[in-house]
Amino acid sequence: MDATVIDVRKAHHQMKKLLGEIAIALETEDIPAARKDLEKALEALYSAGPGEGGPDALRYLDHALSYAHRVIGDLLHEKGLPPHSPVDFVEWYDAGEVPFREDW
Amino acid sequence: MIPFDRYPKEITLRDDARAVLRPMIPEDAEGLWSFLQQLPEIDKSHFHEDVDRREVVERWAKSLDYDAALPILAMQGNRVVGTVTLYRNKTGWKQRVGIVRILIATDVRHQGLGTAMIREIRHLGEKVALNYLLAEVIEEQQAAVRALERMGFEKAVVYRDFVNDRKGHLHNLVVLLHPMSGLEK
Repeated sequence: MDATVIDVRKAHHQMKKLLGEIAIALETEDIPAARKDLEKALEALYSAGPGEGGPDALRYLDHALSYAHRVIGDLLHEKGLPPHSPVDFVEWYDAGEVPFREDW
Repeated sequence: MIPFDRYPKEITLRDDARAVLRPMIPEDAEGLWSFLQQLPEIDKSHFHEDVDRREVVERWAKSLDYDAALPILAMQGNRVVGTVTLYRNKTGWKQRVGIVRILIATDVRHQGLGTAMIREIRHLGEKVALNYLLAEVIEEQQAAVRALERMGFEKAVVYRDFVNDRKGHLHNLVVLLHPMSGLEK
């Protein structure tokens, strides 16, 4: 599936918003590993560039999303809530298959 | 410093079942022994001692030293359903390297308990100021390898035909490393 420049811009904007929300949620938590992952997610987002197309941008956005999922998982773990899995949200993904799932 | 104040810690698994994480205490000997008996042979291969002998597990329970080996148990009621242990050296060149061992009861696998245990040990590793976590897994345990990789562990090396199980069969050993946040500051 090819992403247009508009698709990438939209994804970048959504990712920035998501990471901002996660940063707020993390402010009151003492989870060093999650903070590190959030930093990595932000680094990946900046590397993707604001609204630039191309495979590199998509790859960096994918990295940012992976780190974001891990931080969300840490936050849920700290709260004693069930683990987050992208598979649970498969209907929201505009993709044929979610490429990773909880196995263990 | 080990953050004992976070225990007992209740977690929720994918099927909405609950489990409680807490450090092992001497009174857990019987529960741990029962847990170890129902594990597949392959999961027991890494132990230095014969864990089918009850007195071995009883000795462990009596000689707990959290600064050397911190076993966190996952409990469902009085039943042990998983363990994750953080091994550390108090001195020497590997004192900032923690070795991780995780065991999960077969009937609670694929519910996110293994991943929760990795999250827990990652948190403890940060709190005791380690530079690296190191996990050794037999290559056949692919679910464990994938779960560790998803949580930030990276394959450092795979040793071919390196370790033997209790029947003498050789297996590849995967060594995974997780750099801790303090290392990168």
